[in-house]
Amino acid sequence: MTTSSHSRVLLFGKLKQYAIGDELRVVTHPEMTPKEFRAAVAEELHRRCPEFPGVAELMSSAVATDRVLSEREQLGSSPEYSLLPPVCGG
Amino acid sequence: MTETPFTKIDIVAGGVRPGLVSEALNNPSHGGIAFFFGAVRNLNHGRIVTAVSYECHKALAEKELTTIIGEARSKWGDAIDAVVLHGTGRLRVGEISVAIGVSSPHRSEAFEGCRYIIEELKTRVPIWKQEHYVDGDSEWLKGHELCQHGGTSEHHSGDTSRRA
Repeated sequence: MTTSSHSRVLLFGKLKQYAIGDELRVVTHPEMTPKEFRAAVAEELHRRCPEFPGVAELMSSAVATDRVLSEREQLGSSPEYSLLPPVCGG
Repeated sequence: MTETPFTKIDIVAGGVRPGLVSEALNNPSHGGIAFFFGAVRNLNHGRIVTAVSYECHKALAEKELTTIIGEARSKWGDAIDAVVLHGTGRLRVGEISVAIGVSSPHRSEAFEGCRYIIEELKTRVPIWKQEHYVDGDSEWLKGHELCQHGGTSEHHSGDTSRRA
């Protein structure tokens, strides 16, 4: 049986401007893929910000727990997830 | 007896004080010490920059920097000591955003290790920057994707004109 839960999602960089904040909550389940996770986040971002351009805006962002998940992995169970846009430190 | 190499990683609020790096590296058996300091620049792609805001996922950044330093040791010897400090928040032009110091018994390993850490940091560590321009506009810079499906983002960090 799949157990769904409302998970905390931390946002960074440009993505925060769409959320009007640092985080949001979406419904996730452990078998969810990063692609499905992005779709859920995109839906919530669009609800908060009608100008949000859509899930394509998130395709270059990695999904992370305490590490970056590969695209083949499932989310598993984590108290929170992060969506990491392309990085540019230094 | 093998000496444990020294590592210091710190994500700090505000700009970085470069002196902290040299103060932390004081191994008497190390004759080569290399430093890299990245500063906020006043011009990027023809636009006058007044400040840059840095944001970071602290836990993942520290974890990835630890991995990168480990890789540097596997390439250039377990003896190297390494310090990486990165600033966050809004930094003015001229302020130091990142400071890296690597020491080793000999200079070659120190140079190579220092170069490796800054290049890997720019493409792997979850840090983002937003430039603020003289006309009041601001922009989050594009960078390197961490996900592995091969998206469409431009890789501007590889553009030497954007390097610190």
